[in-house]
Amino acid sequence: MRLNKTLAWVLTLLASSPLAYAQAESDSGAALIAQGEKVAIASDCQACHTAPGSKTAFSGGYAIASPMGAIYATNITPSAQGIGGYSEAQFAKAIREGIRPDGAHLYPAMPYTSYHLMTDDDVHALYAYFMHGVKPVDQANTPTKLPFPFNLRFSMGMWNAIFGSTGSYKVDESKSTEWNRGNYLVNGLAHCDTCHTPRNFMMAEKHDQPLAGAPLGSWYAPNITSDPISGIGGWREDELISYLKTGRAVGKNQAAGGMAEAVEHSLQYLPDSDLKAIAVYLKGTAPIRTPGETAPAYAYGKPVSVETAIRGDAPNNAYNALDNGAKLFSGNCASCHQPDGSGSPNQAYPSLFHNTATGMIRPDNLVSAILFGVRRTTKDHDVLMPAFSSPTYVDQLTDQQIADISNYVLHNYGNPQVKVEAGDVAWMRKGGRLPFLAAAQPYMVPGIAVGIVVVILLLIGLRLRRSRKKHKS
Amino acid sequence: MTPEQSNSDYDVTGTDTNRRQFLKNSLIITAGCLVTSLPFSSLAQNTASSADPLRAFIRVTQTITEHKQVNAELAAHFFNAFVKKVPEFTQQITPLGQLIQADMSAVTFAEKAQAAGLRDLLQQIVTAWYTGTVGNDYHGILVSYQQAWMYRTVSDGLVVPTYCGNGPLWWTAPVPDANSTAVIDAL
Amino acid sequence: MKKPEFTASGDVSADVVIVGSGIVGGMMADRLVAQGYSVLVLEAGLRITRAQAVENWRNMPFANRAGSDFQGLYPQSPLAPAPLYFPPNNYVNVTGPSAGSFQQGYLRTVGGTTWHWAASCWRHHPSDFEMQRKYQVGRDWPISYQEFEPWYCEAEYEIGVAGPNDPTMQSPAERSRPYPMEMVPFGHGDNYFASVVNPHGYNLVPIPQGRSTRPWEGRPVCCGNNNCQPICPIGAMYNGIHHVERAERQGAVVLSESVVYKIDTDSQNRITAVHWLDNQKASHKASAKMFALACNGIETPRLLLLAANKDNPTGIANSSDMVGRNMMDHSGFHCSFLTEEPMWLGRGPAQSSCMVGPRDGEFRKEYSANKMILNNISRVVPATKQALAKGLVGKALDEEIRYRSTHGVDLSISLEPLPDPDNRLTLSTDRKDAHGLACPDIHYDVGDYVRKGAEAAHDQLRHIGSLFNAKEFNITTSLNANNHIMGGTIMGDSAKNAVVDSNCRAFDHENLWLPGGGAIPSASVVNSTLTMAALGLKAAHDMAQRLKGGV
Repeated sequence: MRLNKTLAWVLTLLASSPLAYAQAESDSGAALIAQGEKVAIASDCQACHTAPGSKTAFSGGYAIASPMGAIYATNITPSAQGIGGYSEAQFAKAIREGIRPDGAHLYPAMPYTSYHLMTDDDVHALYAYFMHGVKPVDQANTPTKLPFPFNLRFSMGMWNAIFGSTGSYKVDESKSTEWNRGNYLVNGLAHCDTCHTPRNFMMAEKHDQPLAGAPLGSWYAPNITSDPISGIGGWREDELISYLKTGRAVGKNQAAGGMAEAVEHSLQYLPDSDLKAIAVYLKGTAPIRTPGETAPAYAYGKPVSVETAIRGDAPNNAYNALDNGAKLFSGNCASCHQPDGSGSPNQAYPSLFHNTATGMIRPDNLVSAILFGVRRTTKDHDVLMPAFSSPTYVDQLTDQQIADISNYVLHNYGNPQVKVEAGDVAWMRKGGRLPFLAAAQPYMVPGIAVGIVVVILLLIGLRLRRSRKKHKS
Repeated sequence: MTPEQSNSDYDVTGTDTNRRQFLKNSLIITAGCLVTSLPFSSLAQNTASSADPLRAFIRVTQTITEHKQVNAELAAHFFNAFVKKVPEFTQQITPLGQLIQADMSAVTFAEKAQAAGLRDLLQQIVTAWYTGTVGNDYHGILVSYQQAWMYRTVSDGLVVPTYCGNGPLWWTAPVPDANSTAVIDAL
Repeated sequence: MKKPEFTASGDVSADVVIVGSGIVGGMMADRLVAQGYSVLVLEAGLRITRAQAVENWRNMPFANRAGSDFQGLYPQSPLAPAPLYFPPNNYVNVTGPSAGSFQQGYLRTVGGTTWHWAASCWRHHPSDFEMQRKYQVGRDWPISYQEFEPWYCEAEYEIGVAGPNDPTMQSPAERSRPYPMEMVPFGHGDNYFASVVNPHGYNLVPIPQGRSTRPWEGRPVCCGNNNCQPICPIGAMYNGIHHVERAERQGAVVLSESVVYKIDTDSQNRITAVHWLDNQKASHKASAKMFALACNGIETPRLLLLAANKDNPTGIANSSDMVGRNMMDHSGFHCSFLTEEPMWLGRGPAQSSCMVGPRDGEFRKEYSANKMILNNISRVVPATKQALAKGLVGKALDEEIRYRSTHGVDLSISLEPLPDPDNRLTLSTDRKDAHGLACPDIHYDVGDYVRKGAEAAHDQLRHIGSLFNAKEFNITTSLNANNHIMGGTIMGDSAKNAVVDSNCRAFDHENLWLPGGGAIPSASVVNSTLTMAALGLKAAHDMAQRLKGGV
């Protein structure tokens, strides 16, 4: 029968599409919910929608520290206070277009700017998962109150119109299935672009510099284009896969900050085929060179012992006498990272040389690792580097001390052209320099008020001139 | 246990340590550039060839310990500490060095030193390199800690205290063969 | 966040004043500030950093490290001396037949002496609570192990103790909550030693330790740098500073270089204020509703005696005349030998396992129990001393050091002294510190109970040595201190023969608590710190009840 033939054809298409999970056939039931759960993991919904330490998944309440202010992630469990009342169409619109059922716009902290690529099948499965696979939790949402003018949600409509894209993922027939799958994951579900693509002054992604690297609060999401110097061009495919799966690639880098969370909550659970697809896609991106970089970030440094320079240089009951980067490094870092920076033989404590964190032209990740430590739990490893700022079980270091240690590390184990000042550390301790829009915010109301006064004065001035002219003539 | 940190200690000039060939029975110090870069170079101003006592010190060290590798910078630190702490050092180090003949074993050297009345200083030199300290009392001059040679003898299975081993909870791994001489042979 | 209130002249008033910022003071401050009280902590010594201590230790001459100079790396305020031994500073003058065995090491530093402990967190045994009733020696606690047990659990969770959850490896096994973390895993040496001695009833068990075997509330995992004493470089081991800083984050104020010297009392003999001298020698006054002295087993009785006033002429809290008396420590000795099979001690933390077989039994009617720690501190230093002393040179020297390091064993044996009022701390009549305050004198005699216990231990050790075909078997002839200072403000059920009650509250002063080692009435053979911490938490609870008006 024709219907059956059509159905069969559709199913075949779906089954062979790079975007289909293997079990996409049934319309409801356990398989669809399982598929939806996989989509949710790949999209890392819980990174924002499950508050850290919360015992109820997806119940919201987590304050996302955006540069504009705290944005509270909502309850997306199927309860009355969550999305229990959403139809699938409303669900799809929220995810893909950033528009709530009541018509209000979502902030792009919810990465609808990437999720718009989600296929109908994945949206469908995701909906099934959230409606039937997630426990309903009665938790009221905390309203998000950003300062003026960011509280004007309708302005997002204009922003979307200028900067947004719509439309779900379009398969590029000239590329492999694997490449398409990688593209879909990187730019869609896993929304890597939201961190790794730099943004313009209106905080929209610069579409001409995809994945070229961008600051992320105190940290820096590196360039992951295929450029062999600035990006991952020199990484082997298996190194990329290892990094995504475990958060670490020996001789390259280890994930911290937001990337550690991405690995921990999402990437470590992706099937190897997906990780390979991501690697294939990334290796096929247009290479973008970061200005000023001349060698790959993982090529810098060598073992250099701090011992000969400082040993025996102070009395053995000295007080407040760690007065340079070398001594601070020895006292605070050398225990784990070894006096020559080579780390432990099994690299549980990584080497500081041949490490992109010390080789990059931006020292943000080095400084942030010292300030905030590293915490990353994957299936086989529970990684903890202590923070050197309160609360901590080790010393609380000042901005100057962290700058001194960073410069010692950069000079000996990393990129010796990079220098850190105490002021840089102070900014990172605070959460990073504000993007223009956020930095300008305090001036906006007075700015507008001044602007209005100026306009009024101009109008008065014009009027006076006109009336003078009138009287003259 | 300890990573190949032994390589890094000898990399004074910045060459690639992995391809470095360790010289047997000869000085690592080449004339000129390394010597002048050493911190003690100000001492060199007073005597015509004051690099000689340092060379003698290093030759003495290599011969009495049968260790091939001597860190030049560390040797200079020890040298300065000896000059400061041990009154007879400056006079005795050159004659001590002159007792050395090619392919002399440590035991023979010790016997020769004993005969020449220089065994005491020789013992102090050995003690200093192994314990990292010049002088036996509580006012001894600490020269090296992590690089003290006593720790090298067991670097395949024990840490130098204050330095972590092979990551968290590493010590449940099997122990090396205590009878193996591989670590000592490489010294 | 309620904070102490300062006047322009530098005087303070708060709900609670705690003197001493070690593990006891830190935990009490943390508990009380969390309940909304304003807390002031006065610390005599300096505030130091971990990294400085690490570098200082690495800069120690060999002789100091060989002598275990765990005090010397910690900078001291010249106005708040603590004992030093390299060379001795004679701050505490110990006399008596066992003077050599009471040479204590403790720190007057923000965070206290747990900067350089080994983090052994033992509980007293139930029998230890009733030595008099059961064995007709010593004193009974005024409470039972069962009543005190919940406080042990609290203390274990506050410290973050890694211990065995297999009851056959627990000592004692009576416990109501599991350990917060799994035990520190045995290394090769522990396993091999256990395989040899345990069939003979010596019961080598894992030491419950205050260090992380998994990331514990943000605390890193032990990395086996073998340097617990005198400083954990990475913060995996519990140090009192952790609670001090936690209390500060919640609004407690900790003043360093503040030496308390005077205590004011009113007509009801309530404490109204303490006075302290700052580092310019200016005096200030701290008033509060409740006071705790947690200065350490020597400094608390010293302060109580120093602060004697008109109404308390023999010392604060001293109507019993017991302040400074009954001084105890786990006087001990060492046994070393070389084994036939390699031990490779030095892998992992400084102490990992301990023989507790001889910890309890009927014999305690006659002589002291003992425990024997399998010391896991790297043997390289003593091996080097011995090898050099043999005059070896060349490769033979390397080989000898390797042999002795991999085959060397050191056992640290602890004995249990009984409380003897003649083991007494008094104020020196001629030695004064830089503030002009009298230094402590201590008279100490370990007693026959310990001497007989030592002989019994020697027999056990010789047997153990034979099990290993030990070479160069040696037992030290003199006793050494173990820094577990107890008894100077002893706990009891009446003001006639004790200083504090079971909440460590002074019988003489209704708003003064004296928690810590000084309160412990029976020494047991195990390290006292967990018991001290539990006493501190119990005292803080009593304090809070009374602040609320609940008692």
